[in-house]
Amino acid sequence: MAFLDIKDLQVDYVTEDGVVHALNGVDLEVMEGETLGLVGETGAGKTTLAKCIMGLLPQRTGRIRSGEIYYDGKDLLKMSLKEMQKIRGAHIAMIFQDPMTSLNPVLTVGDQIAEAVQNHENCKRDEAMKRAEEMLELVGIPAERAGDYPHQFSGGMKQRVVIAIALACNPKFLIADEPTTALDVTIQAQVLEMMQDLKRKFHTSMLLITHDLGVVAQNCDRVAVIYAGEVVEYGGIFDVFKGMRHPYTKGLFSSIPQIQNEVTRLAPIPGMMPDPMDLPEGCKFCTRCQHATQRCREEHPQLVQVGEGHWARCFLCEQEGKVKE
Amino acid sequence: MMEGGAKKELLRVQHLKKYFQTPAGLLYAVDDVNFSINQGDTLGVVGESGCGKSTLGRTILRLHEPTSGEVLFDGVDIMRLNKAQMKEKRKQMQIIFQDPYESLNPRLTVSQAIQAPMIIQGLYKASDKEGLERRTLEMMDLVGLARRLVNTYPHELDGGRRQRIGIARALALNPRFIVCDEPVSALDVSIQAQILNLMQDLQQELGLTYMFITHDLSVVKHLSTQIMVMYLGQMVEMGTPRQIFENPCHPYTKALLSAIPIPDPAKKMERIQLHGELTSPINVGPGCRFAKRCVYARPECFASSSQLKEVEPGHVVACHLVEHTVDEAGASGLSE
Amino acid sequence: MKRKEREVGSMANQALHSRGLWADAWHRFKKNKVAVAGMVFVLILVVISIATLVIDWVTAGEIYNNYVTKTNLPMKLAGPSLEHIFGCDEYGRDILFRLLWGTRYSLFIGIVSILIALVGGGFLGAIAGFYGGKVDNVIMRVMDVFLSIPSMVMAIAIVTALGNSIFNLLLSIAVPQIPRLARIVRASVMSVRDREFVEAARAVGADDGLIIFKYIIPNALAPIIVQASLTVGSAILSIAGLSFLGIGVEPPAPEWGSILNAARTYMRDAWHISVIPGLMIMITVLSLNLAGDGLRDALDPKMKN
Repeated sequence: MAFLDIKDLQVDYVTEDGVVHALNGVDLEVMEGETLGLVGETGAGKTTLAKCIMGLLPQRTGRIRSGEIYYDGKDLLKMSLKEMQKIRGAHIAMIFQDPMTSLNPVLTVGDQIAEAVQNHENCKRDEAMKRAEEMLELVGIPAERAGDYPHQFSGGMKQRVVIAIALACNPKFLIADEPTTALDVTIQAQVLEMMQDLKRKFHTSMLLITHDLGVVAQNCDRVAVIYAGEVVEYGGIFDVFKGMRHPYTKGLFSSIPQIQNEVTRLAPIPGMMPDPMDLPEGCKFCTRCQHATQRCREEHPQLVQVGEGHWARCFLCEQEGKVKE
Repeated sequence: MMEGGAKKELLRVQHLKKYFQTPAGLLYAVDDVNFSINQGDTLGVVGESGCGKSTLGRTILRLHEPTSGEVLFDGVDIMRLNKAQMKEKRKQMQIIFQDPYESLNPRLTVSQAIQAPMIIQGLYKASDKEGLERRTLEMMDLVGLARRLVNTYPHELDGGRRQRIGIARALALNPRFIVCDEPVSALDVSIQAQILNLMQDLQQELGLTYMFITHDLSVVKHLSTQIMVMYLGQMVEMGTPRQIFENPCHPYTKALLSAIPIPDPAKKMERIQLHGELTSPINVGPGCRFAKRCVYARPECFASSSQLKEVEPGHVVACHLVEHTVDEAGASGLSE
Repeated sequence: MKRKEREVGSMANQALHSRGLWADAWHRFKKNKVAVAGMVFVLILVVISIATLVIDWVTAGEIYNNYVTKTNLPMKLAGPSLEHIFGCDEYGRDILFRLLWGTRYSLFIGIVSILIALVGGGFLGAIAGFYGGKVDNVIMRVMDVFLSIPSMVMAIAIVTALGNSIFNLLLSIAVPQIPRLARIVRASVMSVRDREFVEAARAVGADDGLIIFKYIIPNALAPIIVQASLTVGSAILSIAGLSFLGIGVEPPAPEWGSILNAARTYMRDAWHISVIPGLMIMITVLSLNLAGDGLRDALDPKMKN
């Protein structure tokens, strides 16, 4: 059974200039203990999805048109604020992209971790502080530094602190929104390795949001490719990376220069993502797809099973498998 | 690559230093860097944030005044030029910036942004509307911007298009040398590939010479004819992409290469451990700057800084652990 | 082949209609009803000042002399009536006329003094912000000295030292505002100075003058405009304050503050003489602040969300 089950999630942002269709029917499942990678470009709806799960959609502009997010048999979207606050941190925790701004500059890191512990666990201050020191050791920072302020840490260390806060209450599900994008490669490798270790240790499930296919390949069990607010392909990491079916996924791979294979010229996807206020009627990718036909422009394709647990949203795959209802 | 005979050297940088005074002490942003670029080549400069690669690019263009050193462009030391001579030289040396959202004046339209350099440099008079417009449309065609966007403002355009404006602005003066400071880092992968291809095409069509600064090793490998690896203000290794990627000699280069996440789940990374994190080069003492993080560091690494050694023709490394493997006399006889 | 990848203009010769940042800001401002109301009220005051000046010029001051300043003792302290809807003051002069004719003082002195402060403060702040270092230090420390003197005290000192005239009054209100505006301008210029597009302009060979006027000022203007429009409100309060103390605009000129000063004595017998000009000052300053706030939201849309 799925650990987290997202069904037909549709989210709009109502702005002064019009309605932005951020998510247009996302179906995703995260299994227990696995890491699901969510890959897409800016504006594809990755962060909106994360915010929906956390119940942090901006109230002023965000509108959930439809959908359910089942966690532990309950729909997160129907929960009251109070219930949601109990879930946040203790059951589902989130790591944000920018470690520079996600820490409070006027509190010591020890205090910030201890606070996260006390929010959910009924314990004394010194117990929480002890726990904070343990967490710091766990993410590779000496416990003596618990009394230091965020500005005394480097970028990579700050992200470790952010991770320590996220893991402080032993959450069952972790959302990491581009956790290493702001870091240098050598630091990125350290932080990702550490996250993998901790994930195994605590048996946490994870949703890893990134635009870096390399990070996905090295860290995820399954991957979902999202484009214009829709999952266009998802499946096991080997299935998708070795036997990608959707033209967008193929385009992504031919867009990145790779260390292993030498190409003199990249083959990028032409054009750009459609305006989320004015999406094409049929396949969202039809404006940039080489294989687009009249049908693609008029009819909206459904996810088609192209292999064991491997789905793609493209008419080209239709004859191969059954349509997901 | 056409390798017809020896290429002409366009740019030579000698003992270039740029120090900044900070409250914490002297910051050695660029410390005694030497290299040269041939006409039509691309020098890729890689390193992590704070290694001085952007400062290097800006100092070469005299956007920062260097602390000392020479930059010979076509044999002329541009550091000795006066204001008027330097302004003239700027026609030949341009820069493309990282952030297409930051590098365009939000109050200027596309055509005004492209025309500004031409008017400033006196290629066209501001009153010569017709000439300016013709040239603007020419530039827009060249970088692949639709002509209908001529009167739009940067905030109405996406990152890829803005970066095209940035490129058109740099090209408007017909430069020969362009410093590209992370021009694709802020862009999405599919757009990034479009811009990289455009830059390659322009290089071939116009015979441009690039200095391509980036933290992305895959991009550097894809584009460069020479690669320079920087660490805390110094060059630690330089060579052709093949030399750097197949035979990295400096422990830092090795660690950097091993940290790249490979987009292939079948190939698991074997990362080379590094101690700690990059610090800033403030008040650096003697010794190799990488020694503190290096797993192979020996006592002599902390005692004295290492000189550049040539390990194979055209491949130089600054590391105590690397021995001379090619004797100087033999090296000059060999050619690539 | 290669060209195909580049963007091909389907509507090659049809230039897109587009809107600059200023037009964009105006578009946003228009949506803010309260701010628009404030701006409309201020515009009405401007029209009134100009209209009364024109009337004085056409009638050679006849109306001013007969209705605004001429005493009419029978109507002394008369309450509001159909004939005099805001009533009359202690000399029997119609308060409505006095208020209308007094608009020019508040508005003219308020706006002009801030313009003076803006030129002075803007120049000093821009130099301090652009060049930084020692220049910045010297200018800003001097500004700090000025800032340590309460603005009302400085205004009083200036007027008493230089004598009572409109020009000195302007100066006394402008000078205390110079350091405040210099600070804003400096901060704003500094935030723009190091942005990449300024460096880009340098890279193509632009000189300091061009960079300041074409690249820095237009981008630094938004917070300065907002601050200036908010300061006009406090300048109007200062004028009223000075006149109330008797060192501002001299009677019988119908300055709002001096009307209040005179009305003080009759507060118990004739409330309308003090309340109506008081309300007038309040509404004017409020309108300016509302319009200023609206400007801020319109010019910096990030602030709102």
